[in-house]
Amino acid sequence: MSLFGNNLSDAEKCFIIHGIQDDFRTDGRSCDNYRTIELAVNVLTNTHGSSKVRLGNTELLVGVKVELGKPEKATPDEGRIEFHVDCSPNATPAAQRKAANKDFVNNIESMLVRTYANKIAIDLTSLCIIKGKMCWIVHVDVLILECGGNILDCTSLGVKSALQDTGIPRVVVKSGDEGEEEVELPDDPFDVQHISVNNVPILVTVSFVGTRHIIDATVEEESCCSASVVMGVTRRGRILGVRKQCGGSLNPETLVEMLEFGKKSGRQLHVALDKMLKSYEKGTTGYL
Amino acid sequence: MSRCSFKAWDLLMLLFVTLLLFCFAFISMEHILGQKCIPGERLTSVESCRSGTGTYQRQGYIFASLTGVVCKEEKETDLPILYVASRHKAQSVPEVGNIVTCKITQISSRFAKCQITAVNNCSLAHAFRGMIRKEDVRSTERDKVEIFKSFHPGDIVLAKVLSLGDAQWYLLTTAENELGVVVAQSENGTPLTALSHNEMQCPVTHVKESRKVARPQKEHIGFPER
Amino acid sequence: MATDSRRLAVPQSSLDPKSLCPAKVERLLNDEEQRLDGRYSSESRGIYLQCGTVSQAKGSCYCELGNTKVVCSVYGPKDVEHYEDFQMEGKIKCEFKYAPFSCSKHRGHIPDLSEAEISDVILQALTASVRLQCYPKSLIEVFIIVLENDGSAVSASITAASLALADAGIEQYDIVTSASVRVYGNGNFLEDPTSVEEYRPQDFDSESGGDLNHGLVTVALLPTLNQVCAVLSNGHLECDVLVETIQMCTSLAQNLYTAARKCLLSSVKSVDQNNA
Repeated sequence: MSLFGNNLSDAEKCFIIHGIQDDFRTDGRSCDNYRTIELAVNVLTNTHGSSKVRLGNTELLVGVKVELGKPEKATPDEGRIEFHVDCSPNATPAAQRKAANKDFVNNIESMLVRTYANKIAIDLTSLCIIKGKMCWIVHVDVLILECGGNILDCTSLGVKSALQDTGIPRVVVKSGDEGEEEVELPDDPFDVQHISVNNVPILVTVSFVGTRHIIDATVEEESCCSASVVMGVTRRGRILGVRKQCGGSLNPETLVEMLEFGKKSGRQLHVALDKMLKSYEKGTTGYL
Repeated sequence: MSRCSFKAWDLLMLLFVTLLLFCFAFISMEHILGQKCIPGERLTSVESCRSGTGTYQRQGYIFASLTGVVCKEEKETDLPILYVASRHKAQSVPEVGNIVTCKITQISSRFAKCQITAVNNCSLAHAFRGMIRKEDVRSTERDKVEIFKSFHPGDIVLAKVLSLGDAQWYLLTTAENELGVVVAQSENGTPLTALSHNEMQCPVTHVKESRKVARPQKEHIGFPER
Repeated sequence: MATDSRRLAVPQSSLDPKSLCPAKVERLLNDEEQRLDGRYSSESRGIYLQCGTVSQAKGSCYCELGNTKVVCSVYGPKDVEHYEDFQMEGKIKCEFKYAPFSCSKHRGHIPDLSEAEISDVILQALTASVRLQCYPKSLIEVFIIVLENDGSAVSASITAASLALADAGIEQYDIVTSASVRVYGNGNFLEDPTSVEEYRPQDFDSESGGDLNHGLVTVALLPTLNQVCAVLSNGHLECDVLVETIQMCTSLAQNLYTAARKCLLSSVKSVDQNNA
């Protein structure tokens, strides 16, 4: 993603590539290590669910709001989930140029839509209230505060945490006057139901730099990489979407290695994230 | 005695095999000349030819990068050059040192901006933008040049590419005798005739206008018969 | 991209009449292992490729894959836009669009998110093959329009775009060929799917349980160099099934090389005859 410029000299790129070849990256990590992830949920009061994620130098806020709406004609017993990504000029002054900003943001949105557009990720039938007439529409809005590389992974971590934190009001359907059904909201604001996030994907970006593949690339490493593959991995290891990025070509054997490496990293990330989210189940406000 | 003959036999075999390989290489290269090729096809090895336009080298072999016919250009002192002749003109982008034909679009006190329409006599499908700075107009008295006395908007100029310049403009120069204004129009629209290296005259009003005129090459000059 | 950012799309108040009849979920493979159009799972549709169809463009290609029809035109190399920075390498701009009448549901005339994503994927594939260092400070524009979409439009577009670039005389390391495979249940791989066979989340209902693999995988390949330059997949697949599908797509794309080569060589012949 060329939004953030390519100001590295050839010598610096060479240094990064040689370091990766020896399994020693510029910040001391090995090729299969993620940077420190800081996560906080329930950070915004006006949302039904929210999270703030910091992965190294990448920081973003995810807010989830649910609204009542009409289901699509083709799927009368399902709700909808809609993604929107915004990159604030805080992240980089280059975000002010509309065309480049739009491409960058579309890239993230389309990958989220691709990996969530199946029946495995989220059970959309649980969002239906009255078949054909009323359903919940879940709006997931991502705001990028700072971009320090690996934005897709960070976004998917934020989305999973925010969805886990989302409390949808438990509505009651009553038959009102003239035989029409009416929907009643509960009096208790904490009477909520949660969406099951057991099969929600986490995006893993595996970048091919020099002769080795790495995960969680920083901005400098991203500008040295010749090709990268983004994949949505569920906790069970199912792959919900794959897309190759960066204009370079890969050997078919290398591609297979990268996919298996990504699957393994994705599963480990799910385990770590679930452990962290479990400790939040009691409920916290504000952020660490 | 037997050891000597063995050595001679060995040498003879080596010579025969080398000759066979050379012939084979020669035959296989002759086989591809005149053949049509598409990008990515392997043509020959680097040992028999050098790569020209429309080809590239990879891992000791020459591959085609254009769709066309494989041709060879012989060189006396070096390996022949293998190139691919396609239906499109070889030149699609101006390179440093090419003679370009351009049309002046804008002039100021420090430079003249123009549109490059042809490179090396091949017209381009899309025009590129070029700029002739004040100090690149002529080679003598470079700082005393006045752009208005050298070019006018609408003139057709022959120039040489100095460098790729910056993002928007190619840098051009007319600091040679054969470079400069070729076709120009006077203020009332009639084509001007060249008088000298810095003057042109309108045939209708006989008004002289100053331009940096290109010297016509010898083959284009016709002298009247006595 | 030609997306109009100043205007918000008016919410659709019109309906596709097909949405009023109940959704019919069909089995894609019958008991004799035949697909809905009579092909077997390892049979591809015939491909037709022709270069030089658009006279005004520098290079162009028309591709027909069964009923899917794609036209691609290439313009350039031309000067970069005013706001671009200096680059020693050329730049490719790719625009992919479904014609509004091409799919079974009417599409808007402003490119939407999925078309922008496919444009990006095609751009990755072409960037891997074009020798951009030969075109400093230049822009090469590739425009792809799908006239009729009956499945595998993305793979047909990638092949057409690469042949259009070759027809335009743009130097490439190798041409790009592409193929798609639909994974249907366990062990069923449908080559070159039609639009009915392409993956949709609704198809899930007809199969039992969530353990079966369903998805659509598209792979673009540089055939002589044997390098993968684009991968796109959706649906839900186990890793080893995904790997097997990618290998199948790779071999299908390799098989397309002979057809692509024949198309390019015939375009050279026709020009020679014009010159002679």
